[in-house]
Amino acid sequence: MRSEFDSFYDKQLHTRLGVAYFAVVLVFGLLGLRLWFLQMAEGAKYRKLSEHNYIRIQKIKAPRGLILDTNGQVLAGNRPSFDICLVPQDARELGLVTTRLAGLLSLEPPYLKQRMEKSRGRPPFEAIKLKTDVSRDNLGLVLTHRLDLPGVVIEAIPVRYYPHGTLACHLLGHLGEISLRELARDDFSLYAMGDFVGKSGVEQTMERHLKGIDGQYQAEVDAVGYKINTMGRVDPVPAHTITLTISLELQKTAEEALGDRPGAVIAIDPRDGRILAMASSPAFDPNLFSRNISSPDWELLINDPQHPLMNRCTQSLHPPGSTYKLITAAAALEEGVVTPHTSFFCNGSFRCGRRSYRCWKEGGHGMVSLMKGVVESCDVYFYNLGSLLGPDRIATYAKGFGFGAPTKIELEDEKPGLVPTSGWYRARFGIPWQSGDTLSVAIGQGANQITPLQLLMAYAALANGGTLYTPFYVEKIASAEGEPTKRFVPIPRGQLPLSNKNRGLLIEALSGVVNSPSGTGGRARLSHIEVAGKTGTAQVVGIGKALRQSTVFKDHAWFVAFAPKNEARIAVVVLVEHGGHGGSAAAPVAKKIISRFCELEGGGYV
Amino acid sequence: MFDRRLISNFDWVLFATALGMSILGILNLYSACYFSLAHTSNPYYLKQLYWLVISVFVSFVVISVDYQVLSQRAYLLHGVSLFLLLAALVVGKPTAGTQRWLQLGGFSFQPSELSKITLVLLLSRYFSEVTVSKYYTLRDFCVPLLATLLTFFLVFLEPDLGTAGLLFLIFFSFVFLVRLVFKHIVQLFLSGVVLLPCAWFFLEDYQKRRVLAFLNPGKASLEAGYHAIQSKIAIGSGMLFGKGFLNGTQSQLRFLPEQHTDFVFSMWAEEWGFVGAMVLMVLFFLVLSKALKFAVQARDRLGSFIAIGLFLILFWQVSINLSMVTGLLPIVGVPLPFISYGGSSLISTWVIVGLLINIKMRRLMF
Repeated sequence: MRSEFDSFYDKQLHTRLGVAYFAVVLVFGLLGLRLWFLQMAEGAKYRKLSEHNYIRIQKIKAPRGLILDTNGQVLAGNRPSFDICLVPQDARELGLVTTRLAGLLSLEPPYLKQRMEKSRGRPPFEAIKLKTDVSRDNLGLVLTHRLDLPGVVIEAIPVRYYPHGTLACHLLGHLGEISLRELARDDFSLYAMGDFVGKSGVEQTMERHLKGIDGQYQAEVDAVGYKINTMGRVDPVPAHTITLTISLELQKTAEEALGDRPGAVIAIDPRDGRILAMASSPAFDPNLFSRNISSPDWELLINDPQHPLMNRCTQSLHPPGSTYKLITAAAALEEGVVTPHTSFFCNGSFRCGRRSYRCWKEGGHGMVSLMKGVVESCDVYFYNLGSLLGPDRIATYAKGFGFGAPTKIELEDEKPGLVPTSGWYRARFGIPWQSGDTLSVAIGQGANQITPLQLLMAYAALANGGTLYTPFYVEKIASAEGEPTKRFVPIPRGQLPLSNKNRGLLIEALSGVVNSPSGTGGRARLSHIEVAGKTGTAQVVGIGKALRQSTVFKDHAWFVAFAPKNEARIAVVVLVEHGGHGGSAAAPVAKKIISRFCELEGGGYV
Repeated sequence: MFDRRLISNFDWVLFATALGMSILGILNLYSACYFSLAHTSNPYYLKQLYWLVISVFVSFVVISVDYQVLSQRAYLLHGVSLFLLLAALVVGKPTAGTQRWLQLGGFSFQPSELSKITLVLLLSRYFSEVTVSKYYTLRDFCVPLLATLLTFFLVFLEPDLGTAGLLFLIFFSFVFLVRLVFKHIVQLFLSGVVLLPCAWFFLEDYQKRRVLAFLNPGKASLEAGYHAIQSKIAIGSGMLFGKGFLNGTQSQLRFLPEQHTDFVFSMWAEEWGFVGAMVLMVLFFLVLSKALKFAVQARDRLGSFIAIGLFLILFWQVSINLSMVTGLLPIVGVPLPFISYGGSSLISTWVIVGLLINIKMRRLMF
């Protein structure tokens, strides 16, 4: 049924469709006119523009964010690099230009040809990088001859620069060209082929803050490819500045004290877990990675038996040696298997089954209580504790002190280490736990595996009242103008399974290690500040004394300390691989660092 | 099975035009990927050819079902569309910061393309059923507005701002054509303006960032400005007869961005010149005027409305895309029907063709 209105409406609809038709004609007419204008009126101009595309879009690299030490001194910055590039389309005669260029820069023409070959298949208007880091003299030469070198352009780009070379290289990390795998990831969506990204250390973990956003400009270029007119420009967005908690001065001291011996040194503030210095030796120069690292350099680093790229602070695993006696003592006190006054007699060895386990002191220590046992590091005393406790109770306390799990420091590839339990032993070796192994574990030898950082955090927790912290190294992140965007707060990881009374006892004992005349850590003694610490010597392999003198099999030296004894403001761990005894090889290193720390603190530097 | 009259009323001209344009599009795509042909095993033009075969088949399926039957299921169909949009957001394949694609077996599919058509079906069904004594009033617009907003919102989230904008354009121009009182058009427009910011609060952080990045005038305008310049150079340099097939330097050297999707026309105009551009324009004009003619001829108001809606989809897409590549409008990602690469776009264009033929074919059947 069509009402009167319906037919009226339909008539109206037809009128409106007429309007729509008119709109189509209008829009198409307009578009037609526009096309006429572009293709006919202006066609010749655009044809010329297209035949030689004079308009280039060029990236303006955003410099990478600065990394500063706690006092604002630059640890990682940028330097300008002048690169010589060639735009093949502008060169007209490629061979001639490359020969001339090779002559000017005294390069072998085959070298340039090789670079050109590598870029085959790319659009001819894209610049090919021929030579990076051109000297000022050569730059001048190229500029004066630029009319003879059509297509040759100079690009100035910021390159990562570490002014102190190898200093703190493991913490700072290094860069590398972005890999295809990384490019495919979502968090790298703003990156392009050929970009450099952090591959380790702070450079890697803070990548998203350190990377600015590249700007770009459109440039009109002349026939030899030189910019004559900038048509539009977007400035790069500078990256953030990252202030670390480490002190350049203390870091220097730590590295100098360690010297070229392979090992690790870390200093932290035990009150919150901030890292004051972190050194691993041998080191590498991260500047090598700021451009593509040359293959001889890379081969050298990767084939070095000492593994300079490895951060020993978080990635090396060794038995803790006698530094672990703290854990055994804590377990024994808390479990009530001994009192501070319980004594054992040490005659130089301990019988277990058919084997006899020696104390490091051949004649023995005589009657030994807790205090003396820790101060003189008597093995027999701890064999006794170990056999009373059994492996699993020691393991429980070891885990309570943070061993066997990563400290969760924000660094790549941190090792969790190993705390042996009877269950683990059965799974690993297929036989029940051997009571002799308990003795090894009780004095920190055998299957125990720890990183220097884990050891340090455990001692720091003892010093600060019992809080186990996650170590951190970023103090704040600020915009390039200095506006802070993020400040870091300490992250508690747990509480030590230790009463305040026992904690006080153990601190006293550790103080005795350094300050009592019979203590093993006397070489860390300082007159103006009371240091407390523990030495350790980690056996490399169970072999005779004679062989142990050669470097490869020499024991690892440990020393871990904090100062002042009460209300500690610094805690230090030192590992010297194959350094021998902890007291002689490692303790002096810690002493230098603590002493320097006091000087700096006096000067308001820490 | 088919009424003889149906076949005699089949619009061969529209069908041939659509097929011709699709083939020109494939030809153009061949040129677009000619440069990289050596190292691509499955180039765009070949994929598009497969899509065309599927599209024509789908189109015939659409033709064979009376549009009245189809529109009886309009609400259901649009519901399916919305569901697919939602699915794309939840389980879709993230591509370049957007979530527009739904993976079905080996195919990827953009539900937003489909949603334009189902929305038109829904709007037409609704308006053809409302009994009106005078003109439609604002109250009559609640349901369709809600449907449009919902669709818009889902597409906006992806974010596919080009298509989202298109949905609104289609809705408003549709409303205008079916004649709402002018006062109500203003009210409707204002309510849209008020509602739009509310959508913001429903966005996730990363979606807000995407939208902001899209709207950011700084970087976007420079990049877009560069693309616009390159596109104009490409078109202009074609001059009267063009540089010839496979000879377009702008496109072969890849100055043109997205030369196989949004900027296909620039490539066409560069290689075939003003003459070629005019040929395409005339073909588009033919399709659009056919759609309008079918709207007038349709047997009922439903048919008219559907034809009007489909006309609007094509009209807005063609005119926005062409204005964009010729530098008359800022760059928004809207593909050119028939010519741009893309399975979802081609299939939906052919569904439109099928529906139009469907309406025309049945105009004398009562």
